[in-house]
Amino acid sequence: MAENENLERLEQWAEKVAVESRQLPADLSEDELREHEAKWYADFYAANGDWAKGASDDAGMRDWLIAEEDLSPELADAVLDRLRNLAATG
Amino acid sequence: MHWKSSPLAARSKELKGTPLGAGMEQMSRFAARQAYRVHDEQLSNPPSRQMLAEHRPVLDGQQQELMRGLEAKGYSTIPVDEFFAGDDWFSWDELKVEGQRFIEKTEAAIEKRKAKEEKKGKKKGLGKGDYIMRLFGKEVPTLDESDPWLRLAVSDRMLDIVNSYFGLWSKLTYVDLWYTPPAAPGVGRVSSQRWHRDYNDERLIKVFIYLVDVDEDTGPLEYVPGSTVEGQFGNEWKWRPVSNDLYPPQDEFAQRIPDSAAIAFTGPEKTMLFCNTSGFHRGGYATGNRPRVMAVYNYSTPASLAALTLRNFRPGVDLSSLSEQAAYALS
Repeated sequence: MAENENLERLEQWAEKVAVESRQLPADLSEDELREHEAKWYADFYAANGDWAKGASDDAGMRDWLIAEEDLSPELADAVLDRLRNLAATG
Repeated sequence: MHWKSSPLAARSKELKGTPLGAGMEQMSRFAARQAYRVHDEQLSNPPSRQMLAEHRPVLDGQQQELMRGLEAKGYSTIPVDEFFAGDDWFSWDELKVEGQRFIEKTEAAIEKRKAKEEKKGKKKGLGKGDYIMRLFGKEVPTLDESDPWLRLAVSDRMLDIVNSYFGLWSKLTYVDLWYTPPAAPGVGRVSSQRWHRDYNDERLIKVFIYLVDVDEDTGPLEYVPGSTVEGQFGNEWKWRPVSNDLYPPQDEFAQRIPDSAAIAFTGPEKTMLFCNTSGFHRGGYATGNRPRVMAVYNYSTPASLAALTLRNFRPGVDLSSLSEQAAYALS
């Protein structure tokens, strides 16, 4: 069932983030931290864009990430950059 | 995936206080929000909406009046014995006795604690974290048919209102008794004594039954009518599942929502209050010398129970002995 698949993908994503976060060095800079967080959010939307995306265009998505998902503007921009890269590289 | 038990919640706890901690907490909330949305839009709420559509209750005049209050203002009140006047099994005297037992037990515990502290030479008394003392506290008790508080909660009379307001068959997630002692001198408002929205659901109902008279000095619940999602204050720090804005800065709150917009639910014992606490509310800051004592119930949608809310009790009831909506509320 599609609904269960969505939850399953969400769970897999959460597991992956938890595992990857354990592999990060403790002394990351703020920018490096933001890059990792942006990658994780972008991974989520890349895998769940069919139902989870708040908007179809970049401007709308940026607003959604800030207003509905509590991301900072800088982090929202970094997520959108990542998503664009993912789309470009297929 | 439930917010409280997800791998990100655990990771967030481990990382608390580290540079990655805040980001991980945000990610944990993000995951919880997505899980809630899946259950709300696809998995859990649509079938429960269908259940209500197939078993839509016919509300009597009194229930319709309560529904109108909930729809228009986010709350309704009625004396509990009037509400259950037609139900033979209802007994205010039984509730009163149970309530009195809870009061005595709680006050004995307070006295015991004071004596212990005095013996150790401490003069701490009740602190800012002691503003609500609960019957169940951190226990997760099993409640069965003999429990008088549970009996009320899963009565069709209650569920007909809650379910009609939600537009779906609801889940009962919380049953407890609260004892709010007078605040210690000099102790300011903390936690839910401050203006906030509950995180659990866009439409959730708390039902309170007063076991003592509650006046302005007894820490009554205060509420902003029209602050639920459709109301005139619905867009002020708009409700979103587990958002960062559930407790807005209190000084800014006072600037954006005038004092005159809030109502304090004072009332005599037996007052029964239905309230959608996704709207702004605060309570339990008792400035007088009497405690506030009441029964408290929470109902939420199946999506909330699946993704965000932990039930504070275990149902120990033979579900086949209940109405279909009551069995669903406890499943």
